[in-house]
Amino acid sequence: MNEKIIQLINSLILKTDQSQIGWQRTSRSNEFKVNLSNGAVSTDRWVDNGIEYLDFRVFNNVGEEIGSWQFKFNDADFALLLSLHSTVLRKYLKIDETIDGMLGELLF
Amino acid sequence: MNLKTLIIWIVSICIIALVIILTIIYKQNKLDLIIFVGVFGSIASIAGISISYLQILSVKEISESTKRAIDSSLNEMIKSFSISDLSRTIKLIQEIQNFIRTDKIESSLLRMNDLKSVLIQIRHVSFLDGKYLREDYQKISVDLNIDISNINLQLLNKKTGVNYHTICMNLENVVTFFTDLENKLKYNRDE
Repeated sequence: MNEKIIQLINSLILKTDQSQIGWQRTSRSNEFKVNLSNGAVSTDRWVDNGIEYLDFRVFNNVGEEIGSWQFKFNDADFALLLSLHSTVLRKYLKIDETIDGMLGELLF
Repeated sequence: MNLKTLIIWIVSICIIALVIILTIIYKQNKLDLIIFVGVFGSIASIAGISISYLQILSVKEISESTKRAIDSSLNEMIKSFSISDLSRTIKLIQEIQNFIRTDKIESSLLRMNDLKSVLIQIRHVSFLDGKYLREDYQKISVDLNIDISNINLQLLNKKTGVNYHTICMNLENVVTFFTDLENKLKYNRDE
């Protein structure tokens, strides 16, 4: 992946973590997408023949795919995409809020 | 003032001018057949040229208004074609949903690619500019591209777990988009 895409993914991780962008689930339960003013991106995670894959796709402002990157476990950029996908999943499922709520309910 | 009135005015002025000129010449005792024919001919020529010029102007105006009427009819025709195209697209989406419900996934994929072509096509129809929100278009286009890719990969056994209920919901958003566009074209003629 080139520098710009890495920068885009890092920005998405940051903004997702800060809850500044809202992701939506697609027609696959592990795939998420977000529409931005100038385009959209999606990320998916799946297993094929026992190997784990992650992908990252970029769409332009009319919804056409302009780039797609796919990595399997042990590939160089797999960890970066895993970080994005995990952050998105955590925010989409409101994992932090749920755990915090339960802790608040149990501890106080 | 219309053309007929103008011609009557010009002919009247020419007759009055002819009478005045002939009277003046007659009072000077110089009127003979050659002078009469000369004066009469000159005034008749001026009247004829004026009437011809007015008729040319009138023909030009008629041809311009005919052109405007043809353009307007042509625009209406193009518009009505596009409305029927939009209706056909809604039927196409319902057909895709029906294929999905009856588990004919390969057929639904073919029709979804047809739908993708229609979506690309409407971007290039100039009179549809401003008739829909770019954000709505982007959303349905991204969803359709993702759904096509997911079905394709599922058929190739590369991915599993495609949620066809979500695909039908996404297609319903496309129906809403096209129905809205169709109604805008049908009922907002001034736009």
